[in-house]
Order: sequence, then structure tokens, then C-alpha cells
Amino acid sequence: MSDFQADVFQNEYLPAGGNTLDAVITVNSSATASPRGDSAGKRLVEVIIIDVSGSMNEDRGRKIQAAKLATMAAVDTLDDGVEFAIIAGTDRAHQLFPRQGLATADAASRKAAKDIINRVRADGGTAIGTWLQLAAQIHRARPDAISHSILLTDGKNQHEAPHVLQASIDACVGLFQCDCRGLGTDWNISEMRLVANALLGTVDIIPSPDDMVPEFQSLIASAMKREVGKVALRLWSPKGAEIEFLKQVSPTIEDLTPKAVAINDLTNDYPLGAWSPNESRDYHLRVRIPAGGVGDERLGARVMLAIDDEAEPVALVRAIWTDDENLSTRINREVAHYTGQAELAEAIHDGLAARAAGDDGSATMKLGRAVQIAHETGNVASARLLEKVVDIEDPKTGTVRLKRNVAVEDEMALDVRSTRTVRVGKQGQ
Amino acid sequence: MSGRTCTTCGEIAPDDANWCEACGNDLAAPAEAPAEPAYVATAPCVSCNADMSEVTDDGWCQQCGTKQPAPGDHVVDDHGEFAVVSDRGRKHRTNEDAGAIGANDEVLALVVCDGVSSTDDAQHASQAAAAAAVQVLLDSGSPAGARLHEAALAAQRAVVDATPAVVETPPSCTFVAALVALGDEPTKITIGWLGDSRAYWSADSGTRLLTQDHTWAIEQRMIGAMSPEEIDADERAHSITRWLGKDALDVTPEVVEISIDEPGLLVVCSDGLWNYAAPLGDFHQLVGDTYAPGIEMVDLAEKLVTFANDAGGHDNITVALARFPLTEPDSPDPAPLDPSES
Repeated sequence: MSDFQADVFQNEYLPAGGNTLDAVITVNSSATASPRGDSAGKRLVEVIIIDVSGSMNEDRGRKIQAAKLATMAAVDTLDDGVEFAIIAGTDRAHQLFPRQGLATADAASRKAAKDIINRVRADGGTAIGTWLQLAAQIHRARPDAISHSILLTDGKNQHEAPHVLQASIDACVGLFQCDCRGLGTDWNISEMRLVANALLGTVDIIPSPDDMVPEFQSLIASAMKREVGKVALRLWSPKGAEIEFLKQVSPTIEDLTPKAVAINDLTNDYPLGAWSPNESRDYHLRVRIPAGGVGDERLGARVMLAIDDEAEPVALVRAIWTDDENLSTRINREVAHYTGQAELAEAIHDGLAARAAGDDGSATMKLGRAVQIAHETGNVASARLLEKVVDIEDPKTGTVRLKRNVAVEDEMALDVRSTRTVRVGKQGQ
Repeated sequence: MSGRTCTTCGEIAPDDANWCEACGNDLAAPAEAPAEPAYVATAPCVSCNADMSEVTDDGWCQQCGTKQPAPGDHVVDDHGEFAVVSDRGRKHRTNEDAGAIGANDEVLALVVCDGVSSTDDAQHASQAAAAAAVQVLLDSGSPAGARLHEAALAAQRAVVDATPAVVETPPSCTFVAALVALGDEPTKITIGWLGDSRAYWSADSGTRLLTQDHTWAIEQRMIGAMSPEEIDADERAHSITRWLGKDALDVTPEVVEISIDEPGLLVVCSDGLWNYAAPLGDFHQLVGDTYAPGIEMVDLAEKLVTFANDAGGHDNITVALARFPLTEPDSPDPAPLDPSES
């Protein structure tokens, strides 16, 4: 049976001369998705990276204490048999546990790891690139595993040049996935996005040390559910076609376009990372193809899922040229919805940037538009985050006023979570 | 979905019902249409001329992405002095028309059926109908008029047999058949029809429409209760009032017979052609302009199909033609001859 199944939502009708096709592709993994011929599924390798720089002593030691508790809780969440390691990061990287390589989780190794974590003291600077390099070195030993890391930091990458961080990230691409968490409000969202985007992970803020334990437990629990590693969306498109973009649009917006790896002249792979059974993600593809004549029917793209380089066809994106305007002017509901969600994320991003630059007029307009789209599309989570930054007079028209005093963590939460989308609502069905 | 329609009695049954509560029909029988057979390329890509090894088994060119024509998209049957061409046109995704022709020592038969339902099976219905009708026209020993009735009944049976047990709209098609008695002087042509596919006799002296469409508009004109303007403005104007199909009310064809005493062409076609030359004068001019002395019937049929496609190709197009007098009697075998013969 097939591990993946996909549905395409598109208006395949183009007007005479039309050359741009939009399609939303929903990909679902089956309940039994697991690598071929391996009934047990792939094993997780987990490398947890925690920031133990001097700033973690702030808040009278609450930060470092919370980080230790969370890491210990994460170790307790690991199933027996999972291989793991703990890295402590300052202006250089220290492997905390085991001394080198990986340990296999069992009662004894968990206890040994927690004893060492408990003795950690915070001191020194922040050089995230060195932490990633050490994680890459550990992950490299298990090329066939589901390789995952959590990266926790509370500060900016102060003791390393930006190009060093970038080079370190580049060296990690394809080796492991990394979910990044920022504790408090002194870390840099764009630095963490850089890491997470390249390493197919998520970014989020942990506003208070008290929230750390459940966050780490849930990150480990989701990582352990992943059974299919190294999945790629493989796109064939015809001669003369141009992939304008391929974005993941649910659960979050991630632009995959620059990640294309050429397989041949007409085929590219877009790495999607590891999948859990019963997982569902949506993608928005926009492809430009040479225009056909009225009545012609062509493929705009053939969508495949490549797992360990074995490709499975899942969907076709088609083009039919027509002179019937009733057909060619229709906008597909799913495409319209995700175009709206992308505009919402952009309006939040631009609005916050304008606010930071002191351009209140532009900020009010952009954030008002964001409120309007969040309201229209039922994106309740984004609407709640926006409420903490603006006073909403009328969500229907997007009439808002900027709040005078906004908590930094609320603004950061809105920024970092702005890419979270909702799926097409049931209304009108 | 809110239930499915029993094709035997029309009762609406729940989606999960196995049997029709009203008549006991087995609703679960053929649950799914058989899987589409793999596409086998026999020619280079129709668009970019890429080698046929570039055509995938689902029928797309791996270079330019063009959908390759389905086997039924353009069907040609060439018997020399008579021929049929059926084409998908430019707008429809499948060819739901069908044409079947044949001859033996005694008769020549031309049949055209135009699938009117949008279900996937309309093409199967029209193909089954045309094939069954031409067989009866060639094999039955009945007089011409009776043979047309027998052919329509056989076609109706074939359509019903091709109808799945569970279907939202039963597939249906029009029917027009021409039977020509060979060897008689003057030549007698008997036409039978249901719906709006047509037969014409076209000679130098003029073109005659041999059929009268079974459409709502024409029936209203005959009743005379509404003005022609009111009739033409009505949305039902072009809907057909007689057809073949499981839901057909009356499958008795209307039958006419003509005698011809001059050289000319018998044209049997679907509305995919005649809609672009509906006034009789236009049709006469179309045939006259397209015809050239010595032209092969198959080439003339192809040219008429091209005319309809150039005019928009809004519907499937089927044209069956025979030239009189027949200069070379066709093989007595009704099976299609080698299509490469020209």
C-alpha cells in the first residue's frame, strides 16, 4: 500500500495565452507510513543543545534551572532504545553526555545523563555555530536515522561572526532537523529562523522559564512519532516551465523554492524532512508553463513523493486552455485561502517592522489588514496574538489602533508565530 | 452526496444501500468502473514530436506535458466510396459521439450517435448503439422501414446494456441511420432518427435536409401555441425530445424514404458539424466549397471536421459520407477495411 496520498486543488482552466497555474497540494501520510521493508520504522537520534551562557544565570538562576529541568524531562520522555546526546553551548560547544558519540536510552543512561545535567553551571558567551557543528558531528554517525535536535538559546549569537553561523548551518543541511526555541526576549528571531528554515524545523518563543518542561516534552514526543525520514517532494514540470514558488502553507508557511535540488533537467526535489504517520501538510505551487492553444490540455507538474530516493507518483497539476471565461476566471477556494494566509503573515511581518521603525501610519494599516484577514479566515490564534499588539475597533474592516504599551514577549510571539496558518474552513461547503 | 438513483425504477436509495427498497435492484453490483488501461503510445508526441518512449503510460508527454489523444478522440473508418470521421472537437474532454458504417451486396448503412449525457459512459453508450444498429441494418432481412425500427431497438438495448446499475444520469445518445438499397434504380435511401443528429442529401442542384430535429423548439413550432420569438428565447429550445437511453420515453424512430436520380452526397452528421452551418443554404455552400471532383470521401469528412473545429469545435463532431452513384462497390464484408487504404 501507499505511504502517501495527495489531493490537488486547482482551477485547471486557463484563458487563451494564460501561462500561470496555481495549485494547492495536500499530502497525507498513511496510518502505517514507515520505510519499506522495515516494520519497526526508523529510529530517532536526538541531540539536545542547551544554551549555558552566563546570561542563563539571570532572573536569579531561574533560567538555567528551568533549562536543566526541561532537559531532564526531555531525557525522561525518550523511549528505551533511542540514541541521544546532550550538548551544552557557550562561546564553544561542550558535549555533556555521553562523553562522546551517542548513548542508548535506558534507565541507567537516563539517570547518568540527568546527574550530569543537574551539575551544569552557566558561564561564558554564545557561539551557536559551534554548537551546530558539534551536533552535526554526532548526527553524522547515523546517516539512516530520523535525526533531530532541539536548540535552546536565550541570547543573540554574540561571540561569532554571522558568516561563521551561516557556514555552520550550511554544513548541517540534510544531516538533521532542528527545532529552535528562544527563552525570554533577548534572543534574535531572524537568527533562529535562519537555523530552523535551513534545518526544516520550527521556531517559537518560550516566554517564561515555567513553560519549558511541557515544551521540551512535546518536542520529544513529536520527534519520536516520526517514522519516515528524508522525504522529498519531487516535482516534474514540462520543458520551458518555471517553478515560480513552492511553499509549504500548512501547518506553517515555509518557502521551499530555494531548496530545490535538481534531479534532471525537468525534475527537482524539495526536502520535506521526516514524517509521522497520519500527518497532513499543504503546499502551494505556482508554475509558469508555455501557453497552449484553446482546447489543449497539458501537465503543469507531476507531483511525486521521494522516500529514500524511491519516487511514488501522487498527483497531477493540469492545464486546459479555454475561451470560456466562466471557467478560466474562477479562483480555486484552497488557492484563495492560502494566498490569504500568506498575505496575513506578510501583513504581520511588515506591520511589526513599520512599528519598530516608528512608522505608526503604515503599522496601523498593515496590522489592521492582518486583523481583517485573521477574522475572515478564522485564524483565531493569529487574531488573539494581534489583540495584544493592537486595539481592535472593527475586525470586519480592519480598523485598529496601535497599543501604547506592548509586552516585548507578546510582540515576539506575534512575529514568530505569524507563519502559522489555518486550513480552509468548513463554511460554505 | 445525498443518495443514489436506482437505474431500474428511479428510486433514491441511501449511499450505503445494497438493494433498492422499491424494486429490489442490486445497487452494489458494479461498484466501480474498471481501472483505465495503461496508455500505449503508438506515435511521437502530437505537440512537440518527442519520441513515443517519452509518452507515459497515463498518456502525457514527459517533455512538453501535452495530453496525448485518447484512442476515441479521432476515429476514422474509410471504405473508399463511403467513410466516417468522428472527432472530440476542441471543447469537450472526451468524444461521446460515435459513427459506424458498413455495406454488403445489398445495402449500405451509415449510423451516427451523439452521446448527450455528461457521464463517463455516454461514449460507451453511443459506441454500443451505433455498432448494434449498423449490424441490424446489414443483417436483417426486413423491408427498409422495418429495418430502421429494428436498428433503433437494437441500439436502445445496447445502450441499456452499457448503463451501469448505479448512475446519476443514465447515459443516452441521439440516433440517425441511413440505409441505402444497392442495385435499385433509382436509388432508395431510408432514414430513421431520434434527436437532433441529421441526414442531408447534397447535389449540384441543392441540398435537402432529410431529417427534422426532435427538439423542443421544433415541436413547439408544430404545436403553434407560442410565437417563434418566445420559442427561441426559451432555455429549453435546443433540448432534445427523443433519444436512446435507459430513461428514454419512446424509442420509435421517425422514418422517411427518398429516391435519388442524380449524382450527389449522402451526409449523416452530429450537431457538432451542422451547428456551424445551420441554415440549409450555408450547409449547401459548405459542402460545395469543401467538395472537389475525385476527392476521397474520408478526406472530405476530415475537411468538414476541420471546418467545425476551426469554427470553434464546441461539440464532438461526427460526419459519415457516401457518394452516389457508388463507382466501386465496397467489399461485401461489413468489417472495417484497412484504414491505410486510400
